[in-house]
Amino acid sequence: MNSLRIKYLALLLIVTAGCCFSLPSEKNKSSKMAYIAGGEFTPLYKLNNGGSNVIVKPFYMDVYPVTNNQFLEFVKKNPQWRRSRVKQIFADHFYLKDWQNDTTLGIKVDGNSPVTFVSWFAANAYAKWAGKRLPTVNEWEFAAAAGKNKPYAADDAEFNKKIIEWYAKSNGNKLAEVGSAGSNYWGVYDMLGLVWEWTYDFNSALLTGDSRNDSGTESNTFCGGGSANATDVKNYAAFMRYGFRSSLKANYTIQNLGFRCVKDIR
Amino acid sequence: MKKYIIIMAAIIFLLPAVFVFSSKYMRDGKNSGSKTSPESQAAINSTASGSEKKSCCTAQGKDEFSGKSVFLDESNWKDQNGDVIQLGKFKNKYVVMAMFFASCQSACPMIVNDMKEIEASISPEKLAEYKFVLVTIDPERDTPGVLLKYAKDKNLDQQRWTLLTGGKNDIMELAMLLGFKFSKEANGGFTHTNLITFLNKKGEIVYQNVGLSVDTNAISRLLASLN
Repeated sequence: MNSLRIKYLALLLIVTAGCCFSLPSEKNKSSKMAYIAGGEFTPLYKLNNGGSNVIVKPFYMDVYPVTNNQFLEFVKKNPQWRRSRVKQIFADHFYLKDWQNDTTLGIKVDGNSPVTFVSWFAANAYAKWAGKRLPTVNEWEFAAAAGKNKPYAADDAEFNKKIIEWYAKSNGNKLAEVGSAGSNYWGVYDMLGLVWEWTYDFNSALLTGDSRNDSGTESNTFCGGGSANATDVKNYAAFMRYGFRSSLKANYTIQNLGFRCVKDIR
Repeated sequence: MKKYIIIMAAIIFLLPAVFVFSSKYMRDGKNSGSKTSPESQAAINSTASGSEKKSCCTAQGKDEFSGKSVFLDESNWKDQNGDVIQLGKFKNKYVVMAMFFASCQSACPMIVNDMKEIEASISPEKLAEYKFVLVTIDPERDTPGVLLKYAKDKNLDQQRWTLLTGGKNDIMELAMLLGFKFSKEANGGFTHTNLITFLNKKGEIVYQNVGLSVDTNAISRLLASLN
């Protein structure tokens, strides 16, 4: 009888321990991440770097953009990021515009679609909360330069044509679910073809190496203004992204601008 | 036998706490070196980040400032004396602020000179209502000691001038709040916009001078309106 009781208690103990072990993984609802091997990379504008290529260190990247469901969990746990409470300096008044209310997605958005109408501050806060960070421009561009079967396809006419076709296409009423725009060589989905994405240092879009010349600094990122300094004048898609980034402010929230996170390899 | 049952029961009650504590300790330790559990942190200040460090955007409890106030930045900064401060310390002062780095040879000295000229143009009786703030974008090199030396070399009146350094992410967040663009160069320097920002006493941006030529007319009109 006694030994039975002890066995019962031991079993209870194991079950209890098992529950506790499962807690952190539930909390850590992180989406899947893919390994990006990194390497040498020629940014579209490389004057900031003394004219040399940049080395992108290996990192992990979210396989999918952050979804409405994931962002909902974040705002539930971080009330200061709810639509009714967010401060204007951190997010403009379109923030999470299509959600029904502070903590309900409603019918206008799909929980599995990328969250949009989020500011850089909100994206950055989400990334920190998730134990991750936003990708740098170089990391994002490096990962996005991969084609289906090769790590660098930005010099591939067909690859660029597809991106431009997507940029030219208007959005439907509702964004498609994450994963719908296909994966690339690294196994990340939707880098091109679903939403534009915030980068950590989008405010690094400067061209001249000498800040005494402010006019060049500000004009660089538009096709007309700075194309002569670009490394690959045929990479229209990258021009568009650099131009778009330079037009952003960190509290802007835009219909087709979402984000995904990355993590350092330790 | 009873003794065994009591011990086992105690273990059953205690183990969950140990597991929860240790798993969180490990996770936090790995992410940020912090031992604070995210949940307890959330309960305290509603940031569920794995880090216990406050960031600019945890704006709760700062309801005294409007939604447009730069003073909502809750980051901890270090001034030239090594004292930890938050931007909210400047409330009830007009703030003339710029981001810079001390080893900058070209643009930053001109920005600081422009700020000194603005300081000189304010009447002595009004000057007590102003603060001049320089925030470095080069925290690795610009320690409080370096900033103090810079303040002395440039003859900045430390009654009115505060030079700040902070964490990289806090610097990035402030740059984003001000609309300041910068990029690190391979040689260790920075490319950056030249921006002097004027905040009213509530921390709201009332004017920004972009570029190296200071619009003296606009600024004197502004100062007159503030006074």
